[in-house]
Amino acid sequence: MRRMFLIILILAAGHPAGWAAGSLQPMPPVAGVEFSVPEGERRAVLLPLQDRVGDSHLALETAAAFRQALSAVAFLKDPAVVRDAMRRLRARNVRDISPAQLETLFAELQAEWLFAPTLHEASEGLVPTVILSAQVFRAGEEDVTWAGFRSTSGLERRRVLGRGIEVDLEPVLQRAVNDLVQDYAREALIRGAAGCRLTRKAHAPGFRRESLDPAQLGRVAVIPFDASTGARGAVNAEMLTALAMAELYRHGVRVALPTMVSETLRRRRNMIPGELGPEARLALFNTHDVDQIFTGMIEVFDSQGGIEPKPAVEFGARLLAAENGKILWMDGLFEDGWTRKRLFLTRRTFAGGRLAESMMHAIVTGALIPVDNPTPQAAPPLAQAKGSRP
Amino acid sequence: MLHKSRTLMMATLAVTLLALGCVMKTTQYTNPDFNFGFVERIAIIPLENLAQDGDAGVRSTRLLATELLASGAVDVVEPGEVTAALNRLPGGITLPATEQIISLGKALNVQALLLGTVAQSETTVSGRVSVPVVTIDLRMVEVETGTAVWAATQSERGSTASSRWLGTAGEPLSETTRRCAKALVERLVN
Repeated sequence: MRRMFLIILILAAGHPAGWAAGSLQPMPPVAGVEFSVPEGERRAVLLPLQDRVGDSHLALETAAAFRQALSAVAFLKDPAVVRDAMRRLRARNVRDISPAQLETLFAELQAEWLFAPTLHEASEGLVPTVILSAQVFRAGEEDVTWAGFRSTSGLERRRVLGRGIEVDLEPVLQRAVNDLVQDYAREALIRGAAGCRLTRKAHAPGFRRESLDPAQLGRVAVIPFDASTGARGAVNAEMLTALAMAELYRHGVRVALPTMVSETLRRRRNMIPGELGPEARLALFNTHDVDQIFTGMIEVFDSQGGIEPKPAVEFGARLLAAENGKILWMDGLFEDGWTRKRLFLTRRTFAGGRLAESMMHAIVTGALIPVDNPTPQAAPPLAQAKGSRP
Repeated sequence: MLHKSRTLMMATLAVTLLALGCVMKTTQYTNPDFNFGFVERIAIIPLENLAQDGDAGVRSTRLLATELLASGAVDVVEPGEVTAALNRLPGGITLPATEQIISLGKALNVQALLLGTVAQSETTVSGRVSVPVVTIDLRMVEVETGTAVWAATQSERGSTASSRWLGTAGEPLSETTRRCAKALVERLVN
């Protein structure tokens, strides 16, 4: 299967103009790949990259890498046409537009799906690290079609005697982009190729209501995470929100469109991070058929630099019932890159995003472990626990 | 025989010293006239942070909510709803006055509020060993009159036997905070 993806990417690299002006370019024929989406429905739009690094040169390079990798699996629209359409909607980020505007965008671009990438972090330093995420929205659908997240560092491929270390940012960035597009192709486009690449065990939940049956989980809205402190708090919170969407998608949960969530919160003036009033919650439940809400807060996301960086991540997450606001599950985790190290210092994690991804996988898996006999149980009053105190 | 009893005494002394090293003293007040059976739903107001660790307040608030829910003794209001209610107060106050406590109680449909302070959340260095120390002051206020019905101070130190004797890394600060929150919740519900 890996060889197959390599072939796809090599073909993509050799493909001269996947984004010629105003036209949809045909995908190069790839033998032996059976797409679950028919060829006529693979007309895609690569939306402008959301750059949270602030380096325009790097952003251009990342967008070009995405275009190159995606052109192997889809017919891509010309970026100038896409830019014009976004400009007409006065939108920079597709996640902030209303669902009606999203439909307009689909109609105007005559595309089947939109690929919305974000570059959360890219730092060179002694060891280059990259964090990327992307979501795919499909015409006429009210759920996220696909959500992915990738983080990597120059030490990921280190072997004995320091071989395999990447010291330049560009190859690390290219690899992260290719991995993310591969994830998309494997999980959403190629028949029978899906499979979870994370294997970490579930984290025992801090709290899970007995009435929560993960098998009955409906449509989940991911409300933007809050950040406590830190210089890049808002950026880290956005990264964790994207990670939560990716992790829920990986677990087969229906994730509501972020455009729908942002419009609902904006209309109810609930735009302060961490705030979720009953009006916004009920609007999500009544108007958009959202059953559960997933949100949380990132508390720590930093890294002690050096030749072998030691990232530290701490966050909390919770799942609420949209109907009554009851907390159904709540958990949090703190880890640093060395928490899970083994003998001879193996299994260390050097990229903060990768550590966060592993932690989110562990706690979401813990939340969604099936229960045998879910029994609804009301919380007993404090008096029962406090005994006979008057 | 004498040798055996001496060994036993030494072991008991070691365990006692170990226990004293990990757990610190607590102070507690409970209003004897208040009927705690009345409390079914609680809102936790984000704890004030007096520690140098900027994340200590949010971390402690989150862990308190998790521990309270896990205890099964009361239901806890969704923190986003509490933030929304606090933001509606004039000036977005985090330390509400009596009238505001009463109105918050009505808005959030709770019988009591939990307020408090993270007085200490830091990693002290003892010799070659890092020891996390967390102190939380917590109080429960009933929302009909705005009076405190329960209050406690809890301190936890996070050094382990291996960290003290072998010089290895102690537990992370968040684990010490979790134990501190758990101890406070146990004091509240037992």
